[in-house]
Amino acid sequence: MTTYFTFIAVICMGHLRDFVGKVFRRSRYLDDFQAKEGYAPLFKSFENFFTRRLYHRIQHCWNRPVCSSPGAHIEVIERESKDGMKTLQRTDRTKRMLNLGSYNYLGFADDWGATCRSGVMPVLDTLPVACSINRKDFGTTSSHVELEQLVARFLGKEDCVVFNMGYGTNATTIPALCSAGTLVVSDCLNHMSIVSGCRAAGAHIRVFKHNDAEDLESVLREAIVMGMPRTRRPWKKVLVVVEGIYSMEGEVADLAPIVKVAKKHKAYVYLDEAHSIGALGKTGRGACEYCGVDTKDVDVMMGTFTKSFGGMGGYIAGSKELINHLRTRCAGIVYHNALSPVVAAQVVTALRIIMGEDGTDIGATKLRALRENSNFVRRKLEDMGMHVLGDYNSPVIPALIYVPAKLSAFSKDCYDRGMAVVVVGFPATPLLAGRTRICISAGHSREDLEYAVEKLDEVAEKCFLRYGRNAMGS
Amino acid sequence: MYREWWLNLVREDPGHVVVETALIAFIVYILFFKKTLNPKDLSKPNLSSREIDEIIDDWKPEPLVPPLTEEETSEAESMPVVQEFSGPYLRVEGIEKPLLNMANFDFLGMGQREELKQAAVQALDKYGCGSCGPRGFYGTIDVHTKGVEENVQTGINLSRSTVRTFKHNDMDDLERVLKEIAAEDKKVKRNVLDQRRFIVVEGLYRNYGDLCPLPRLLELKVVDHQRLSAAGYCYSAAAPPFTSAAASAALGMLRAEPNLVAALRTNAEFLHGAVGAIPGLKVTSCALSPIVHVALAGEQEAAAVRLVLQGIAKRCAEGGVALTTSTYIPSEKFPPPPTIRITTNALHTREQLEQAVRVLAEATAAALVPVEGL
Repeated sequence: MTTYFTFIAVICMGHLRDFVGKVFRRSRYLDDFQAKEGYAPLFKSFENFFTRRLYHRIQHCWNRPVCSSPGAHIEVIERESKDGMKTLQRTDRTKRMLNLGSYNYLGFADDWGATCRSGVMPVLDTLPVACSINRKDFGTTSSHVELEQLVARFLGKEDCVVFNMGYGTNATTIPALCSAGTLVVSDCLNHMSIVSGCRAAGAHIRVFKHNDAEDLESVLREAIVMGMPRTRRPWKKVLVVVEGIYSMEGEVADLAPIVKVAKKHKAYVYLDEAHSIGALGKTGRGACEYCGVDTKDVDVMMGTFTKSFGGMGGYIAGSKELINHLRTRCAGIVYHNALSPVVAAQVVTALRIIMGEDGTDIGATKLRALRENSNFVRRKLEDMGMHVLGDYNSPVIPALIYVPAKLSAFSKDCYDRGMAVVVVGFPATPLLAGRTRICISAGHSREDLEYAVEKLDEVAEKCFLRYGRNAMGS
Repeated sequence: MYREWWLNLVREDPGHVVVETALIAFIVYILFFKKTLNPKDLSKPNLSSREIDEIIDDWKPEPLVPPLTEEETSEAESMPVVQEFSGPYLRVEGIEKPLLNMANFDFLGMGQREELKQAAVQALDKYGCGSCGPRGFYGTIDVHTKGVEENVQTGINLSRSTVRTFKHNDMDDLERVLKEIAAEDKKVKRNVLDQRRFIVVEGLYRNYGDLCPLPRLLELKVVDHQRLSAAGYCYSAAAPPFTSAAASAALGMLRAEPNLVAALRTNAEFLHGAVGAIPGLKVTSCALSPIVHVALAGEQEAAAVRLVLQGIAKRCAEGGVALTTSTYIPSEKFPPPPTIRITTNALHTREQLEQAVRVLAEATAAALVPVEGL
């Protein structure tokens, strides 16, 4: 309720200021009001209004530039605004902060010099920084082949293909698998890249209640019985798309019953392990290992290298036929430039460490540290009375803040106490469910986390975030 | 008491009572009975759970992916694997002799320059490899902001805009489309300013090797909207800092060595002329483009041409030159005509280009003999 009031207040204020600005012709957005002669304005008024009067007010929470590796501590470049938050300028000052925002789950950004450097640098002797061409046309290097074979072995799949962008992996693989006449049954909280992929594919899309296998079953039963809309012909195929860890919710997929229901109804399973691969499961093999699901029952296994592996890009692992199909018919492979051989080498090295093939127990130690750190912080936040979302063992710990003004205050108060936290509002979350998201890393020491918990407690008190105690959060 | 009141009402204004009763009855009808008349529900069969199970048992979904042709399988499984880039040459697995690289888009030959590698090494040592976060969330590293491609058509589809296409690079056709839109505006009395319109073109078309006539088009800049609304920016992790550092270094080198661009242009023009002189081939790209597209002279069916061109590319590889045929995916709306794609870069010497043209001419002559014999 208060969240609604805040929005109404801010929107009214914004319109009032626009009006005053137009009447007196004095506003920092004056240029925006005067569209170029003869052109339609580039933005519709509300989009523009949202950017001007809502986003700009609290934009200091985002796009904070940093000048160090994304390890447990980062150097953030301080910014200031001279025009009432319309733009932010960088200063020469930097500030060392505890990093609770990066997806550096296994801490490879902290000890990169000691762990991955020796595997990555030699590649530059023979291969360029980028291949500058797609895979088929001499863009495949020995570095790519090694990575694909290793990922396939790690996941127990026949083959694997790697992409140079995580978002593009979903956005191009789904259209390569689906066409008109295909039904995609998608979890209602799936990531934007999956939604993009489904829309681009032109497939029919049904959503089921988040993580609810029973609802999935009823959606599947109805869809198969009813067939395609209007023509009533049977579906060509049905693809169930779920994620391993939902990055804005911190929840782990309830994979076992979902896979069981999908198999029972002859639907194919597409699992997006963008956040879970390398971070979940005893040996880092992701949601399948954690939920006790055989990877053979998951038809398409997708994941990214940006998070636990400290690289970039994504992969699809599956049967030989599937991978060959993607290699010849998926836009992400046929058109996009190949992944940088340097990044491929980074992921190979990280993966070897996780699998223990480097002959040390660094990988196992990292996985254990990540789990213990995550559960420590989650328990403490729950004790503080914050509305914590998600499951134990998940390194993503979101806590609801709701009110946009509190988002801004929370971010600033954490910043002042030397903590880099991520706050997420519209459009990544529903308008009314703004939240903070704390990402835990194996690179955090216990002292780091104790400091974080102590300071978060202060901020929770100050910003009234103890929603677990009462609705006002006081 | 109510009875009296009612009777009084009926007596005073019977028409009113009739109308109001009818209205109330209609509301009740909408609330409680209309649902069962919903056409969607009517068509929904009332099946028992066992009947549903039987339908599901009978349903045979298609395989996840359609079977590949033998040709496609071999294409997927035998992609050339490059082991080493050395200058303008590539060492490819299974081929002893290094191939002259006339395939990739590193037009200025920057990818392997020592300066660039040093910039990458320094950035790697300072920042590690990955950025571990989208730009909005501590993924903006200082090096990103010093330097700045994607599938345009998919992007247009996803924006849910009304799309009009004009013939490739044909400004008269564009003018025709724009006039049509203006006529439509008049018809539906739509104010020109109510609809935002974008003309979307590329600078250098990879599949055609020609340039867009930029002087006749406009440039628009869209930075803050991009930051907030572009999915790739909001939801996708930022590029690794070392790639940005390398891109900045490349831009610096480009500024410092304008002769690179001149060398590229000379090479492009030479290649364009020399390839065009090969009998049986015709160059379809423009003379300035470092991507040279070559089609078979004469009208033939696309699938047959593609096979011939692939044969030529294969023979060229055997002759020591790596070049490629244009590729597209089956769902492409406007597939480009089949061509051989030859790229040149600033590293190529005149001798190397002459050598490549000689190999291409021999391969073409060998490939065209059986076709003409048919």
